[in-house]
Order: sequence, then structure tokens, then C-alpha cells
Amino acid sequence: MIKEKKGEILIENVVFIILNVLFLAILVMFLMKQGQGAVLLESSYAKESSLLIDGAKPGMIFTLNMGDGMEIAEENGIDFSDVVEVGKNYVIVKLTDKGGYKYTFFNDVNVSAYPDKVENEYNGMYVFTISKR
Amino acid sequence: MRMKNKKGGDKLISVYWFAILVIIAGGVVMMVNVFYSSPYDVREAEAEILATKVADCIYPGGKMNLLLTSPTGAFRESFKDNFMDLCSLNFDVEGEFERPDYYIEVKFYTEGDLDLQKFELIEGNLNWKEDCNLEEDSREKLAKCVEKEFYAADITNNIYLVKILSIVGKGDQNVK
Repeated sequence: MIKEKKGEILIENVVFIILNVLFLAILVMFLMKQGQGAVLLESSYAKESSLLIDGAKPGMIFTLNMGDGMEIAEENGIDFSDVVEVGKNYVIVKLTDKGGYKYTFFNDVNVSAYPDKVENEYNGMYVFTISKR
Repeated sequence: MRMKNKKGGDKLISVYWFAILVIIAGGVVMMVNVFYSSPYDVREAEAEILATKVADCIYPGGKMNLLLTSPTGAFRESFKDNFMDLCSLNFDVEGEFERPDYYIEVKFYTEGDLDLQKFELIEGNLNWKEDCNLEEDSREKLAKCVEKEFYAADITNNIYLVKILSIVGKGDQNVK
């Protein structure tokens, strides 16, 4: 009789612990996923590159790590080379097929942007070259 | 009898425990959503870069821009006319009725008499300037203003106090 009781308590505890761990795992996964949303990454990449262009001088080259964005773009069927579009005074970053995020810059320079490759494969970096207009 | 009560008490604690977890999870989800739904506000950094860029254009390498003052020390009106091109600035916006998101103002004062303004350069959307003087609770929705000042000597060793005011609007892209 006493043995049976102890067994019940053990099973209850195990179930309780498993549910707790499951609950915490779901919470952590939710938190990790939140920071990697396409909309959030689009805006942060566009703003980051615009600020870097504003502070740049002709002749400069800088690279931006867009590894997380590359994964999302691939999931949405967008080629990494089409993710960044630079116009006369704006940058558009597009990780989904919903138009992307546009941010303007004030530095009157020519900017060309292309994805960096290592052994003919994208490595998640985008290269921006600044030249005089 | 005593054992039964204990078992019932344990189950009650488990229910409360899960209720607490659900409340915590709800709070975390709510806070994370509020945090990530607010856009990054980069306007202050942008205004800072604009002011620095203009300062660097006026006084490159610690010397007054030769296109700004003549050999006699007089300010050139041609610099004012071509300020945007000479400092590599572009405030153009798409759309006929759109106004620039930027405003830049540079004022030169004589060192001995700070009330006497000798020269000024102004470009961009003047409407943003009002936002700098407003004192409202919801200041984050107004344009961001950055002020810088420094002393500069021209080729004839006249010393000026240069005051730069740079403003960035773009409230819709940086504030929820």
C-alpha cells in the first residue's frame, strides 16, 4: 500500500517537471524567434546601412552582416542578391515579397551594394562601396 | 485522512503554480510585443552625423573652407548658393508635395560680439525648427534636434563662433 503511494507521487512529480520544462522551452523559443522577424530585420538593416552611408566618404567600402536576413530571404524564395536596393538617396531592404522597408540618407554619394561570396556561395555579408557623385 | 489532505494540497499547489506560469508567460509575451513593435529610433544619431558632416565641410582639417571665405576674410555668397553641392548633401524627396525630412542651419558669430551674426547657411524644411522649442510630454513624436558649436579661424585670423543646428523629422518611421 505504501509502495503504491510512493509510485503515484513520483509519476506526478515527473509529469509536473516535464510540463514545467516544456513551458519554459516554449517561452525561450518564442523570445528567440521574436528578435528575428522579417519586418524588424528589414527596418534595422535599412536604417543601419543608411546611417553608415551618411557617415561615409567617397572611397570607403564597408560590409554589413546580414546573415539572419539571408536565412529569412531564402525561406521566402528571395535571392540574397535582390535583398538590398540602393537608389539616389534611399536604401530598400526586402526579405519578403511584401515590398520591403525604405529609408533615406542625406549623403550625396554614389553607392553600390552587392552580396559577398566565398567559394561562389553567399556568406551573409553585404558590401557597400561609396564613390563620388 | 491526513495523507488524503496532503495529496489534495499538492494538487492545489500545482494548479496555482501553472496559473502563476501562465500569468508570467502572458506578461513576458506582452512586454516582448511592446518592445519589438516599437521601431528603432535612429533620428538622434542621424542628426548627429549631419551636424558632424557639415562641421567637417565648413572647417576641414582645422582650417576654414577656402570656398567659404575670400582671401580678405569676407564670406562668399556663392558658398551659400551651392551649400548642398559643396558639402555633398542631398535632401531631395520623392513626390511633388513631400517636404524634406531634414533641416540644417549654420550661423557664424564674431568672437568679440556674440550677438552679431556675420553669416548664415540654411537648408531643408524650416517647419521642423518649431519642434526644437516645444516642451511637450510626448517629445519623442517631435523632430530630433542636435546643436553643435565650435570656434573657427579664417585665413586672416578672424575668429568666429560657429553654431550648427541639425534636425531630422522622419517621425513616422522612428516612432510608433
